[in-house]
Parts: sequence; structure tokens; C-alpha cells
Amino acid sequence: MTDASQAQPRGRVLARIAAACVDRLPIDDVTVLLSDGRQQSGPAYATTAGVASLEETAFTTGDGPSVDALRLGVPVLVPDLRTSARAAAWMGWLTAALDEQIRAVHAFPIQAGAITAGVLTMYARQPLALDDAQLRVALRLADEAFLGLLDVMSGVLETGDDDRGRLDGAVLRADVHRAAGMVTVQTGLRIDEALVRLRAHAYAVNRPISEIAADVIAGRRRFNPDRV
Amino acid sequence: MTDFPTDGPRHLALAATFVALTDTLVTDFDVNDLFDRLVTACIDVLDATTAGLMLVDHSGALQLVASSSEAMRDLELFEMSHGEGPCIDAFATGDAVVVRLSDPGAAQRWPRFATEAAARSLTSVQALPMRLRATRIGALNVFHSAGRDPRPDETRMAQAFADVATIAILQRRALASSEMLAEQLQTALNQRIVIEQVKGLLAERGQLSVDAAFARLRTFCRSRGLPLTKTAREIVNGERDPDSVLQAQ
Repeated sequence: MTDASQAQPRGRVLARIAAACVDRLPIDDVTVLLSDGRQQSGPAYATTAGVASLEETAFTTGDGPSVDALRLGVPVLVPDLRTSARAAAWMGWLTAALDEQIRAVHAFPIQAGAITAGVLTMYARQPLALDDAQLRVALRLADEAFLGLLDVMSGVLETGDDDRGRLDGAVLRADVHRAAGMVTVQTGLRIDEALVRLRAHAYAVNRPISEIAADVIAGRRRFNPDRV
Repeated sequence: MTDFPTDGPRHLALAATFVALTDTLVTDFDVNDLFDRLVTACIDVLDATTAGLMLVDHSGALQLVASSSEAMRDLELFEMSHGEGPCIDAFATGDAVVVRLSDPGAAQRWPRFATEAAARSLTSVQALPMRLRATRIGALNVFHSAGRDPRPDETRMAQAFADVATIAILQRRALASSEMLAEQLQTALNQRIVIEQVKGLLAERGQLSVDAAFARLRTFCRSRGLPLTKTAREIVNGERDPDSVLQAQ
């Protein structure tokens, strides 16, 4: 889900998410790695140059928590890099992370079903085991990142720090994903592109995406291969 | 457990169900496959009319993760959107709810839900909590119709199904202590989205109902020993031809 012309609004969305992560969780730094669904498209956001270079290392070597989270599609939680057997396998990355004074890292896929938009990674300079409540906060922030990136891709540009357009609900409903599956057939688009198409249409006609999805499922609305 | 049937076809069906459910736990665990087998077993073994499974998400809201039919899905979505019903109560209290819908108490407790259920000719409901010690993660809803009220031993069987599902979802937690409940529920819920995506794709491609489209996928996977979620993901990502699934008998 990437496009050069969307770099600026995307940066604003990711900065907002990263600020919320630092504000609400006992972490120090945040990075976001983006994926276009087929291959990694690279680091897109970092709170400091230090973690940016760490993410570059992960991206280049194919080793590290964010790369694992992207590949496996599940969160990768490392409360203490010094004692983690898993972290020991990320040779080059681990050395670089410890050099940056990082002790804990938690990486969350930014995803919805078969769509993986990227990874939201949080770093702490002290050992940090997230408790269940903190984990839920982190998972919600990864969902918000997904919705924010969806807005950017749909051309629903953020005008302020907290403007989320008209996207209703914290998480997209099952119906929306079912409708997106139908739209892939109608348009020949990939599943992530189909979801973007639904979101863009909902915004254009000023209706909730759940209503557009209901129309698609009921056969009242079809999408065509050529964008009008 | 001594009240469970010990002979006859039902005994065999029950044994087969637990073998199938435990099989899903041993290798290449696929949460969607387990959920689907579970709600299907409620129909096949417990003679239920329809069944559905809900899990709590990281916002504390219940999400429907499996249903034996689209009609069931509509009813459970109704329950969630109106915030009343047996599944919600079973989850909130951690206790099983077993109610005949014609009882006056049912209409008092859930006025809107009871009306909706009656409109679907459902006569009784069992809602079984999914819990591990103090932790509650969801509930299993089992509905019967036409005066066929569930017996106490059937409620215990349904609870055993719910327990298997709970253990399945939380099993990795025991294996790797750093992996936590919210993360495991999230993984299960996200895998559920893949199923919604593929249902839409297959239904549109084959011009089928969603139930029929999912039945084709289930048949395709079971007859070839393929995991449901991985296969669904391949179809959605364009790595497997949907027509090969739609043509499966």
C-alpha cells in the first residue's frame, strides 16, 4: 500500500500513531515498516535516526523483529534482548540494537486478514514485558495505523492531527472484508486495492464504508474494472 | 462425563468429533478449521439447528468468529449490536446460560433477542462460556428448534466443545510464556478476516450464496487435507485459482 505522492500525508499519519505509542506505552522509540503486499517496500517512519538505521539493517539483512512480524503475520514480542533466544538469531540486528541502547522490542503487524500493510515496531531502553492491558493498547494502535494508511491510500487526506475522515468504528467489520473479497472479482484488483476502492467510494459519496459494503453484498452496488 | 452416551451411533459421532478436534491441535493448527469443525459438530452431534462462536477482541467487544449458517450469523450480529442475548450473558458472567425461549423469563431478560430468535423458529438456546480459570475469551451459542430441547448431558457436551476451543486458542500460551492472551486472540480474529475475504471472493466468482461458497472451500480443503486459513489466504492473494475450489465436488 505505497505510492510516492502519498508520502506527506502518510508521514503525518505515522507521526500521529508513533506519538500515541510513546504517549500511552512505556516505550522510547517507534518505527514503521511498510509492505505493498507482495514485498517489503521498506522503512517509512522512525522517531530517531538510531532506530531508523536499525530498521534499515533489518530490511537489508532480512533479520529482525519487524521482518519476522511481517513474514509470520503475528506480533513478535521480545521483553529483553539480552536474554531472548529468538533475538540471538538476529545476529547483525541484535548487535546494532544493543549499540543503540535498545533492550526490549515489540513488533505488531499492521494487517487485516490477507492484507499486510506493514509493521509497527516499538523499542524500549529498559527490559519491558507488556502486560495484557498494554498489549491491547498496542494492538489497537496497530489497527489505527491500518485505518490511517487506508485513508492515505484512498486519498482521504488528513487535515489535522485527529481527523479520521468518516471511517466508522475502530476496526473494520467482517462485512467490509467480505465486500472487499467480492470487489476483487468485480474489478480484478488485489484485496488491498479493493479495500482502498471501497474506502475511497465511501468517502466520495459521504457514507459509512459499512453501508457501501452492505450494498455490495446485497448486489445493489458493483464496482467496475476501470476507475471512473 | 459418565452421563455421556456410551454406545450407539451418537457415541461414535461424539468420539469422531473429539478425534477431529484434537487432530486440529496436533500439527499445523488452523484456528478456522477448528472453529468450523466445532460449530458443525454442534449440528451433527448435538442435533442443534444452528451454532456460533464469539471471541472477545482487544477493545473488549465480542466478535463472531464462526457460525454454522448465514442465518445464525445474522442472529448473533443482532445480539451483539443490541447488546443483549444469551451469548453476551455467558461471556459476561462466565456461567452457562440454558434457556427455553418460550419461558416468560427469556422475553423479560432479552426482549429484542427473544423476538428475533422466535422469528427464526428457534425454541431454546444454550450459551457456553469459553474460559480458562479466571480468564474469559468468548462463548459458544447452540440453538435448537421445534420443541427439541437440549438435555443436561448435551449441555455438558457443548461445554466440552467450548473447552476444547478455548484450550486450542490458548495452547501456545502454555508453550511460550511470553506470548499473551490478547495477542493470541488477535491472531485468531485476524485469521477469521481471511475467511471473510475469501467468502466474498468465492461467492462473487461462483455467483453462489456465501454459505455455498464456504461449503465448497471446506470440501476442497478437507478432501485434500489442506489447512483452511492458508488455502483461503492463497486464494485471496491470487496464488491459487478460485475456480479449482469452486469446481470441487
